[in-house]
Amino acid sequence: MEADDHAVDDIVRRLQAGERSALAEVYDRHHEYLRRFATRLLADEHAAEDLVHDAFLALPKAVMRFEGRSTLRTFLVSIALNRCRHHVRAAARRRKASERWMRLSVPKEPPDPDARYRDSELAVRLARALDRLPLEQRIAFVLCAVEERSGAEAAAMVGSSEGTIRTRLLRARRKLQVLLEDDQGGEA
Amino acid sequence: MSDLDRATEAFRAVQDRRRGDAAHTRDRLLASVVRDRRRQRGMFAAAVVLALVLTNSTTWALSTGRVSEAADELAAWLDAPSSAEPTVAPRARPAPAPSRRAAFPTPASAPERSTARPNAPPNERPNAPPPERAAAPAGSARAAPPAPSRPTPPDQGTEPPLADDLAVALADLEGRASPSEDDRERGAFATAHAVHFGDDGAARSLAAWDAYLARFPHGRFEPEARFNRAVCLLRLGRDDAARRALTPFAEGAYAGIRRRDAARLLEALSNGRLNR
Repeated sequence: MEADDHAVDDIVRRLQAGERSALAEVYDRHHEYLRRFATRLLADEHAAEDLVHDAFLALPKAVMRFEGRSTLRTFLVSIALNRCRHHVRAAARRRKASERWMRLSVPKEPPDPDARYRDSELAVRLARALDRLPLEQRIAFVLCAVEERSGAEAAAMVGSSEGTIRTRLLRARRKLQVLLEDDQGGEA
Repeated sequence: MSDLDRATEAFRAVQDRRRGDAAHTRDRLLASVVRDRRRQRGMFAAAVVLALVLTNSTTWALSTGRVSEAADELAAWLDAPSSAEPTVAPRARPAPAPSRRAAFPTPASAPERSTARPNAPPNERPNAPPPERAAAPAGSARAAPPAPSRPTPPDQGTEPPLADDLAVALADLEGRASPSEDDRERGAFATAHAVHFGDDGAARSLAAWDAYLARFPHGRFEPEARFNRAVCLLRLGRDDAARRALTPFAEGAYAGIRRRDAARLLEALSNGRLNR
């Protein structure tokens, strides 16, 4: 939540006037939040970094449409969502490529059943499954299940209705469940 | 907890552990902004200059058959065939309305050595030999231009400076409340360019380029301004000053911009082959 409405109005005005220092200030204030969202959405550091860069780069133009109905942070996430398609594909390609390399190396010892390793394995499997979802379902899942946002908030970010978000989330969960089971069955 | 819920928690934890590279992305972002703005400004400045040139010089140029002012001017100096063939046939046009000109003072230190009328093009000055053109391939020789018809310049001192007007117009177009330094530079250059290629006379052109360079000695358009200034000096017969102005270009001082043109002019100056 923006603590000071006047400060937000001032920085929005300066962004709209094209002040580079305003963009740097907004970046410093919101980059960690946007990066965390982008990383959760894309499950790839490099793609996330690119998406963060693109979203902030688009902000000076996009902010002309900002009406203050959401926070600036939420507005940034909306911009990122509008621009994420290309980055989702890039992240998926990188993941496939790295998995091909990993399959080439056969582990000499059984993997350590450490919890952190198990988490890491689960995360990789879910990232793989997310790559196989339609983009809209992936976005709904990341916003609602990973980020734990409300349906209303997710709908506002994406620019659709709450009902649409719930439908996409439901379909995403069903498909992901099946993909995870298949993935596990394949490894057995 | 379902497998999916466990996977979701694990996914969140793993992604949140990733650090990213905030500092590098910040630098990259700000560099991208600068690069994008420069590209926009370059395109915009080119459009403004082109609009001015078309408004001021092409009307006269079309009416007199001289379209490629810069190439023709250089060729006229060097007795060489024009490097740019007229692409539009001269046709009768109504006399253009007087255009607004900047009230540039004629520099006191620049005596007019030429005996020409102030606004005469180089090859129409009285007492000057007719241009001797080298043998040129068929179809590339120029016909002698007909007597120019020029708009009568308005009274100097009653018109607001064109450069400032342009700066305001540029600021308006880009949504700024007042002109930025960059707007002022673009306005000053476009004005000098229009004076120079609108053939307002060498003295007025020189004053216009001096005005631009006084305000923006190392501006974005410095090389072009200095070269055009050198051409004005040649037209005014100030050979030593012209030589000093052209030598850096011939030596490649401006990343090779106008190097060949400057070398040709200097050689013609040395050999007494300049057509004045």
